Amino acid sequence: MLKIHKNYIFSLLLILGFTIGGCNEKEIIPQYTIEVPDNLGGYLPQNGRNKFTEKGVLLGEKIFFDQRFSSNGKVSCATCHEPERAFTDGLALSNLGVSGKALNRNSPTLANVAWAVGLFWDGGALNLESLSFGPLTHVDEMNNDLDSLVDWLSNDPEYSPLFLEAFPALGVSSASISRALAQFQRTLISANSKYDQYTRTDENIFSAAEKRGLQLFTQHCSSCHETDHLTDFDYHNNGLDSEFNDTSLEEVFMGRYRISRDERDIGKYKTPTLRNIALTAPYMHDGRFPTLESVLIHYAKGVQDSETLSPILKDGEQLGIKLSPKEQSEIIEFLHTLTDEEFINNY
Amino acid sequence: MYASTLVLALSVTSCNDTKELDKGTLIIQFENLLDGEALKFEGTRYNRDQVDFQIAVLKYYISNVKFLDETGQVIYTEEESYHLLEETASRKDLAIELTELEVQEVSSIEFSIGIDPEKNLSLDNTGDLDPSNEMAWNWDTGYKFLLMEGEIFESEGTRKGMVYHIGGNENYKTIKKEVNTKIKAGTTTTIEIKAEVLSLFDAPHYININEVNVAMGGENASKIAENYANNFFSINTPN
Ligand code: HEC
Ligand code: HEC
Repeated sequence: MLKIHKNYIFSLLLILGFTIGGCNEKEIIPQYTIEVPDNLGGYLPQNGRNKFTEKGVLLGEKIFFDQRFSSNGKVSCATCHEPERAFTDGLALSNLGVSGKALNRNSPTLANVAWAVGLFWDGGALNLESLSFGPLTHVDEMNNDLDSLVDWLSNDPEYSPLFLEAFPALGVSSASISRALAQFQRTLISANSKYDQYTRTDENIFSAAEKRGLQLFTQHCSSCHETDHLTDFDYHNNGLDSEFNDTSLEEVFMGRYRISRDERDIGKYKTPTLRNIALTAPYMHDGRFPTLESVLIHYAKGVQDSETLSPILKDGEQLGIKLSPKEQSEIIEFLHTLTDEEFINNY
Repeated sequence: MYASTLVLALSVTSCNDTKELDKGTLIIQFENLLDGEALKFEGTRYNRDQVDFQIAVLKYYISNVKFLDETGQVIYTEEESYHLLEETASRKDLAIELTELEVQEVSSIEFSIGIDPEKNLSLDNTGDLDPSNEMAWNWDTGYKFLLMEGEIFESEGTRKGMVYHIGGNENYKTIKKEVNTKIKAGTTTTIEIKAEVLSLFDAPHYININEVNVAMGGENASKIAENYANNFFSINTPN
């Protein structure tokens, strides 16, 4: 949210852009770029065809929390992406949608989603501007119809001027709904955790256990959960299963293969960011692990072999990562330093 | 902490409101056929591969329309050229109208079935590309290029869905057809193009619709795409 970033460590660069909507009608739309700390690359990526405007971001935020965008008036994006849980819902497989039927995958965090290269666990959605149509219309999510949404919004005295101000050329349209949501979601920046403070300014704020945890993490985990985004934006099989024979539901259980159709991608999923990980249980694409302890036990003892298992998790006959119980708990101590209270309270 | 910078960006699109009278119009009129006869929808059963079937909806994108002269040179390219053609029992939307055209001889036209890779990257589009047309995939960004849905009746009482959703950049196909026509000032010229549904399943790849009643991506979708590139469309040349 823009007003927050002002009293945060970020600042706004005001760019004035002139856009021309129709013949000889000039309009001035102030556009913003948002700076972010150096350890996240210094600037916030945006989509060239949907640059930030203050009005666009605020409209997107309003839509994100508005349950009237669902067919029964009870579900918003925030129903499954709750700020207090770093924009997740606490369920293994969410049944919070209109139908009450469980989805097939776990609701991921939206923290730092501006940097994501592919969206969804298999990277099927290419950008935020394209993704929103899925949840807005899916029967098990918000179950709405884009035409009736546009009808409602065009006649709504509160919303229709907001759309015209934020998107003078598009007005109320399915494209502008999605663009506003995308602008807002890109401002969900988590960059002020204890870990960020440790790397940016103050090495003394980590306890001895947290420091050892970070060391172990760097040694064993960060080849995939690369700092400081805590993801390499790539797809791996981290050994959850040994077989991927279930081709039902348009191959949703086959991982990245469903999108790339490359057999080497069977069972691979996107490396999730671990930012705010202590708040986003349960874990993995299907929410199978309830706690961080169970995740660490998986990496230490539970890794399953298969054709596509990441070589990093396999050393000859030895599967997984050798970690003593003490080392596991030190890594967990470190993972807790990725919680960003400022983000949760003032996103 | 950070310095503010002020950047001025100015983009100007020129305005051209003058309508000229020495321009012509071309309508490309599509007609969907099944076995050479006008396609009929639910209520009419067809037979192929030892089963009865009926069709509920047929939609496809025709895009990037161009005209070529007799040397093969492109002489006209439609801007933002994306047309969703759609037919159901109650709806028929099968014409592409091109206006304000230069008077000229057109030897052939070129168009594609589907959406070019550049546009297929993002769904926040309007008009015929608006996702409200229900031609966008919701878990794999991109458009369905051709959608045909219906039902197959294996034997009395047992029926199953017939669902063909063909998309993906590899299935974007460009087609060129000789038309030998002329754009005339102040006049509308019409080109008729027939689209034969059975040729989606015929050649070069024979597809048994009872065995392959669903194709949404993968090998069978690509076969159907090769079929639509091959022989789906035929031109009724004037005279
Ligand atoms: C009923 C629960 C539910 C609702 C409502 C919902 N989502 Fe989601 N969201 C999910 C699930 C589950 C996934 C993971 C899907 C997958 O990967 O296949 C997801 C994934 C996402 C992602 C991808 C994040 C990433 O890093 O890959 C984004 C972005 C997103 N949702 C935004 C939204 C927006 C915007 C809305 C409202 C228009 C919304 N969601 C409504 C459950 C929900
Ligand atoms: C080979 C790459 C790789 C390595 C090494 C790796 N991970 Fe992961 N990690 C992944 C992938 C991929 C997923 C998502 C898998 C899925 O859901 O199918 C994941 C998921 C997780 C999750 C769950 C995240 C969530 O939002 O549900 C946690 C926690 C996690 N890893 C921690 C670790 C820790 C701690 C280590 C080191 C001990 C580690 N990972 C090593 C690739 C890796």
